[in-house]
Amino acid sequence: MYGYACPRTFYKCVLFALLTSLIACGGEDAPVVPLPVASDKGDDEQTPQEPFTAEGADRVAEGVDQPEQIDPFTGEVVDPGDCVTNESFFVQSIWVPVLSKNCIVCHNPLGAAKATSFVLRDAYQTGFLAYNLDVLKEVATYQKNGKSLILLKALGEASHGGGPRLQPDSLEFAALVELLKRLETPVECDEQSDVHPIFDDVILSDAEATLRKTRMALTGSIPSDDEVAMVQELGGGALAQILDTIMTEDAFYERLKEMFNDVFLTNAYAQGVAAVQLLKDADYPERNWWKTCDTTKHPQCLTPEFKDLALELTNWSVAQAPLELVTYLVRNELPFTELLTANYMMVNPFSAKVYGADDVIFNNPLDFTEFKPATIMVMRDGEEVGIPHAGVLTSPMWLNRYPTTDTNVNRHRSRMTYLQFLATDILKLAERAIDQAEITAHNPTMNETACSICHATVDPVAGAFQNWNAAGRYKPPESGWHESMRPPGFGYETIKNQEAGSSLSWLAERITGDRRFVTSMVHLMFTALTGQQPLRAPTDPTASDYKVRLSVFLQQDAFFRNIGDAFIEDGYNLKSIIRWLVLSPYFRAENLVETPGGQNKTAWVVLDEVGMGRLLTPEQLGRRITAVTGSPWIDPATGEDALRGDFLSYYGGIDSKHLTRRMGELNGMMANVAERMANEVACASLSDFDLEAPERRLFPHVEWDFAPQEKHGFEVPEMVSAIRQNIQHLHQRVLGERLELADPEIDRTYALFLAVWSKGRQGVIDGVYGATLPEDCAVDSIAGDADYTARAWMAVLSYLLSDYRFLYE
Amino acid sequence: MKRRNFLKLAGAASLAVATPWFGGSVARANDFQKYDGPLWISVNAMGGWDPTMLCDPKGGSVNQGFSTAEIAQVGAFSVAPYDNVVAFFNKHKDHAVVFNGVDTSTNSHEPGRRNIWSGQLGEGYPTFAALVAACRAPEVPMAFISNGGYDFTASLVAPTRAENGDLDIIKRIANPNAVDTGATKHYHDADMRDLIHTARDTRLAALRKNQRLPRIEHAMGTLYTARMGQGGLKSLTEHLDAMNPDEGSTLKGQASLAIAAYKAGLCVSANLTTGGFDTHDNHDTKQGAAMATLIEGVDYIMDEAAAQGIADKVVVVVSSDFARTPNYNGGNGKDHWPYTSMFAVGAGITPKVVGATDPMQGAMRIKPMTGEVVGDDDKSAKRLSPAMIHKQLRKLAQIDDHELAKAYPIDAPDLPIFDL
Repeated sequence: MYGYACPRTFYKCVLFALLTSLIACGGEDAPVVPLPVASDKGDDEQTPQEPFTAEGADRVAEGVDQPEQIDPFTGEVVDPGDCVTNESFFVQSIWVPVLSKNCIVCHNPLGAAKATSFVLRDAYQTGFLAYNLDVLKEVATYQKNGKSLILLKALGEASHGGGPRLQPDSLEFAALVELLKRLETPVECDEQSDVHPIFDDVILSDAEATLRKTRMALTGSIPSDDEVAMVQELGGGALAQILDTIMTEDAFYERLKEMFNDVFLTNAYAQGVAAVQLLKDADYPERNWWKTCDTTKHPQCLTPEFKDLALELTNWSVAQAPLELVTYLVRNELPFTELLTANYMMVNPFSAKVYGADDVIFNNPLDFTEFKPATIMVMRDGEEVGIPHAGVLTSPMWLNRYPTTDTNVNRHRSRMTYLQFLATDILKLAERAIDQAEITAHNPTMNETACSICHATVDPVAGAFQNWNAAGRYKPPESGWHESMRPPGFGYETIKNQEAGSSLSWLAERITGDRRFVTSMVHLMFTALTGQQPLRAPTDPTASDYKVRLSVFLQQDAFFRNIGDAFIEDGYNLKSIIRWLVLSPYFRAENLVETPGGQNKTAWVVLDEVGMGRLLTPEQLGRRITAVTGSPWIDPATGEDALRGDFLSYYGGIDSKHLTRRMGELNGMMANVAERMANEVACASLSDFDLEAPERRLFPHVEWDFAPQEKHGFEVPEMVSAIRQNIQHLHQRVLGERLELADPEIDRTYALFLAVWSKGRQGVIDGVYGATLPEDCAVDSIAGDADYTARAWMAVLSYLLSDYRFLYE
Repeated sequence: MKRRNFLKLAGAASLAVATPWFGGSVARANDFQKYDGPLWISVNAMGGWDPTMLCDPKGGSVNQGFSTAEIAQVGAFSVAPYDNVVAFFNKHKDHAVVFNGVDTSTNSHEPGRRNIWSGQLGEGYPTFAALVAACRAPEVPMAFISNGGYDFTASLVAPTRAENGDLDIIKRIANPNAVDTGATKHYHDADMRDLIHTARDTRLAALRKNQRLPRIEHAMGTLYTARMGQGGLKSLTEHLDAMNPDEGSTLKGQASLAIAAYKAGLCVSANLTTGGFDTHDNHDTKQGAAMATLIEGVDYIMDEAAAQGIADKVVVVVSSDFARTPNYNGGNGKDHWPYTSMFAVGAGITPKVVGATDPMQGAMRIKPMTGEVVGDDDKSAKRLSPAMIHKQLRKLAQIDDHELAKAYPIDAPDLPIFDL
């Protein structure tokens, strides 16, 4: 299925580019990442094929036997020195000028030729190129009277319903003939001569910077001294080792839940009683167990602290089930396919009581972080009935988050299933204009092509949700599924009656067996880690930058498939995707080499999506503040974490309910939130001086009253040295910049310190400014600030905390 | 057009995000020109409204609420015979235009929304409000306020999400150096704050000068642009204080903030939203309630604009994902239907009805240049499309010749919609 990328050669090239960059960045050892195993799909056996001998085509075939190659776009002769892989040739010379223009209009799943063996997928569907090449490979083996059937059909022969599509002396036909020859004798290239290399001139972060970036991205922490030393000594090889450690830390799992909640949005129910209210007494008689906290049933209720927190924690625990399934699978390195196939639900001591999962034994009945799998039963007519779990798909949270109605009949759930787990946006299909006036058939979703193009895909999966009603309850329909709709199923398969009771489990098996599930997980993690959306295949071959864009897309697509292969090889261990991504140039690109004249040889289009430049989310920024200063940004007005409270929405965050899309671009309001943060955190951070110098995070090299000049205005070298040393420390700690003391950025920051100090000190003397710190910033260790030194440090901190490198990654 | 194209264009057009501080003197981030052009407000009726209950009234079997004979005529407009609808059009009939029979070419929510608000069914085109903000004044700190709906910006301008919620929070945001909401105490003395800003901007300029990856450079440019109007946000709170506006995330609350931001010179355009229109069941009751909220909200915008002395500056465009079917389903609801309506009220608009649907809400066509309505079988004419309307909206906004607008070309015939 995935042979088009000429795996061995193409993957090797991409891999080489990726891995050599890491090796070069820090040490001598290659990172200990699992090398993806080159797919063996490129070795598909080809049925020996007789040469095509149709009159008219022979002449062309002879032509393409010559070493000359024609660029089908321009008609120009391609430099014979340029090697073109089969896959690239297929995309550029067959898919774009031939199949997408002449064939797919009929040869699609709903087209006039839908019943033939030659059914193509369009560019809206993930993996369409690989799929289409595979289809073509198969069809290329068909012959009639010793002649290639596809060539005959293309010329309108062999009873081709679509008549002649190509002229025998056309470049397109020549390309098709050549492809058939290439399929017999695949062309492999030593170099990617037909690729516009994305990362040729890109400067990647070195091992130490990558370590910091990774720690910040995955745990919101900064590397320990030991980790930094390890990377400095061992280089890139140490990174993978540290990465494995990082992926065992609780903070990593919190971040992972955040990433998946951005997709599932089930935290919409995490507060109040929203989650518990979704459940019904009829199913779960104990759903409100916390109201009475009956000590005869629940011994923990004897503990006051348990009772006090029971409501809050119970609701939260019920809401967390889908996200806890994610962390359970990753923490235990279980196949991530269980995200959909798990025949259990995650419960903790609190939610277990709601669901009546009394047989689950917890180590600590008060520990709300202890989640375990449980099989859930519901009450039906006084009896317990087992739920046919299908991971997230049967979670009451997920089902309610994507509700249905009598007329929607689970189509929204189907759409979200495709979007979240099959890397397919069904609404892309709806971009085709429909003409309502032309829709005259009875039951249009079944019988009108304009409607069927979406509904043939959507409705079978919608039907697979048949046993779950609008409230997310397990309630198999008494009269079966709607006969006016397509039967429940997936793709060309239909769910048999005997499997109808567990139709979502059936669906989950099909989805996780579909390569698009792998793609969707790679895409999800790519977006979560880089903030970027995966590229889409360009669709306009007449665009001037089409070929470059196609090349860039193919490289990224190949890279993703490569990661997908590693994911599969590693037993669907999600950690393998993360390992690959954080060590990749997509994550590590920092800059571009400077070329004379300032014009880089690499086209803009190639670099368009390179480098992150990602605004931190409120949660990420909050963790970064804590990591750097030791404390979160506490809102003085509420005493709570400001970035999870009043400022969450103003800084572009989501509440998973009404606000579901994060704002990726800073606006004026957000800039001011960032500045307030910098000022308030700088103010609060003066408490660092209350600690002994060796214990300080921010000011280990100075005391708060170190002044750069004595009272007559003469510089005090020892003081200046200490101040500059501390500024150097702050650049490293706050911004991750390892600078020499003589670096211009140290000069700039010192100049700010000096300017604020001298102007402030004079202002105090002149009575323009007060002799003390702002009231909210006063700390025990600072007795007044008549010399303005503490406020000079506040200024420096505000400056650094509002810097691009602090607010972005 | 994708972001890369914008970047190229931004460079060509010397837009704020490409402020030429390479090698030159560093512009202070707090310098920006207050915007005083027209305020463009898009009101998204989320879910797919039923224009037959508003500005494209149908009786008979299409509506259970009234008969064809009861349809009201208000000036140039035929409207549904509901008191609130009639009152609304009576009040605004002299500066309103109605578009009926707008073919969204889809029955899906997102594509429908996209087509209505960008003029293109496929992905990639910015919503009109974002486009006009990007062309007019992308550097003002709340150039494009979004409360949801189709608010794709194509990275032309950073959207501002701003409910008119707690005024104290907005004050704290507007005065980031103030310790208290009254701004009587500050973290940094004013001169020191200026020193910090100067150092910060200088460093950002240096970082950007050495950055050659377009994506990262763009992010730095966005940070710079976002800071340009920081000081201006203070006047937002003054206007909000003075307005004593409707608060919260209702249509009125959203409008209050947009108007206050405009009055402060900070805002060019806003996307407002109101929901409840996806009435697959119990249509008449639910749709009627949602429509009442919508009409009341739009009326509030015009009243508030008048009260603030900017009635001659505000243009409000109202529409929805698509329309509802001309028949009721088994649940007394109405499903999705592609032929919908739009209407606009405000500055520069003269009374007119453009396009039509037939008695069963079917498609009709109009002749380009004249606007004459003909049957759907007259293929020499065109169905009224969102693209045609957007082409004229761009002219009304005087952005049709702007480089950014031309990067999102509209291939549609001209219609004599506005008296330009």
